Amino acid sequence: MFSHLRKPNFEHFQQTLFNKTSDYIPLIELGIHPDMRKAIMGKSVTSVKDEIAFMRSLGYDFIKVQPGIHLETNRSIAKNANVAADRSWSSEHDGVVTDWESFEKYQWAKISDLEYSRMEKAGKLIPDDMGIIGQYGDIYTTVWEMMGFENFSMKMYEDPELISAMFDKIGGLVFSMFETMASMDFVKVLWYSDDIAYSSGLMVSPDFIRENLFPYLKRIGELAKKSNIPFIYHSDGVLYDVMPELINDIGITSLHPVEPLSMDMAELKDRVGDKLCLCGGIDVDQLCRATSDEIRDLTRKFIEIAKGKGGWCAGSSNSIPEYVKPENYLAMIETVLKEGQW
Amino acid sequence: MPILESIKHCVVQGHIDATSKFPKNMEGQEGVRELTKQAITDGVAVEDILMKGLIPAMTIVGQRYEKNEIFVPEMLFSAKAMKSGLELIKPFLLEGSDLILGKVIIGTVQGDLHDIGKNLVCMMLEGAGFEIVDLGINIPAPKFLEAAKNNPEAIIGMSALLTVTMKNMKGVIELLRVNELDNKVFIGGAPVTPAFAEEIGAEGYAKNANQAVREAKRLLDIKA
Repeated sequence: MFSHLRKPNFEHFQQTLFNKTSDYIPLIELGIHPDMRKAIMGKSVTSVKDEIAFMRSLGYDFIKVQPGIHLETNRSIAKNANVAADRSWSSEHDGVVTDWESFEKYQWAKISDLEYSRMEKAGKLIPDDMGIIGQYGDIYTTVWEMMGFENFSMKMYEDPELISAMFDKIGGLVFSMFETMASMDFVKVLWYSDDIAYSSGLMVSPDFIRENLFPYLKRIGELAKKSNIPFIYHSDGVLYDVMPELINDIGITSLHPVEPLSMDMAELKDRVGDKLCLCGGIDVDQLCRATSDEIRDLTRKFIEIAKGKGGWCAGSSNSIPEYVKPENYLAMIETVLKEGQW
Repeated sequence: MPILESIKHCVVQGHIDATSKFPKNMEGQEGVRELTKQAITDGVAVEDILMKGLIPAMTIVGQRYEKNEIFVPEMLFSAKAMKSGLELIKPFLLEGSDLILGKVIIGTVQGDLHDIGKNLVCMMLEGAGFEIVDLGINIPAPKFLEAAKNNPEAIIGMSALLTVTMKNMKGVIELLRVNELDNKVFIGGAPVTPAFAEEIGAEGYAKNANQAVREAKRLLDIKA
């Protein structure tokens, strides 16, 4: 596809994530839907080998791998005439853990249930010029999804011990994943994703986030620092209220996905561009609805922000769902590969 | 503190009743439920409880939310507190009373089961004095049409979380207009923008629950 335009250079990608000097813009994406991969490759991308070939052909320097785990929340399926795939949603009222009784009865996954075979396989197959990102997250999201958002909101004040116990359970499991991933010498970047904000502000108070979630992120940040590898944090929404902690206490090196409705890339670059590499930013809505020429123009605007300075990995403002126009996704990538250098 | 001021204070603070643990510094104190009962017993006009207690309180709550002084959980407590008072005075409010600002049909469009935002909008609209017809989540266009036929005076609010589901808003508006219904429509949700609202022919757009109240008032030509 685009391998003639750029060969992978994982070291360069890593340096960009560290916000160190770079001379071109690397690509990044948190997720690319299986249907999109199939549409582009003409076949399903399932094995680690397929994944490496797919990412390499599009110009990415990495593959991203997660440990295997399943935590039951309370999800429903919605059918949508606009897309082939059905979508599952978490209940915002009822959860699977709503009180101490259901907490005690719940069959919690154990650290020994975590599964790393795909990750180990990736470690063996990854070529020298590419690297592996170890990614997981959702401590906060899993807690509220398991409890239902309204019940979670009430219990924050009515039963803070239950909330604390939930964070201990989920946080302990997720931290263990990062501990294991950081110990694998082929994992060269850690990526934690957990949405804590809307486009108008944080979902819950900054104090709650600081007390309940950030201690885990701080420990993950210490793992990354000890291994001298970049630490990317993903959250939708406006994050200015907790930006100092993310940078100074937790030690993230890179921030994803910089949604345009929430934070303006140029403004964010001015405010924290000397401390963070910014990742993403290209509006998923535009990738769905604009023309390919409009996407090329939009991508050029972002390239101008980073040109000569670096500190930006190009990608969508969230991920690439199946309903993005494939030609727009490819137009974004091609523009970065052809014009994102200096 | 006069009783209406106390009701207002409790709604702003999100203190539902004496058993409520929120906020911590009001634990054990009477809340909106007890104070509203007391006010009714004392012969305070229910109109005053609504207009001088509950509604102005929710206006303050909305402003605090917009300024990021409080967040969704605290707003939920306030909404529940307001509702506990509203339920007590509802039997005394006459149908068609001019205290009801107007009617809003509201729902999350087909394919979309997200409703934290939609519910907050319902709570804020109710708190501002609107009557709500909450269709719920994952609502196909014909259901919006049916509700509009049954409530020709109502405006319609639609919500969506995703780019792919927000496209369904256009279908609802088209169906309404094909059926010659002129209910005004306003929309909101994470991916929705004023430009998109204009593009699909929606008369209004709201970025958050507090803006939804302002927008509903604007569409119904109600002075703030």
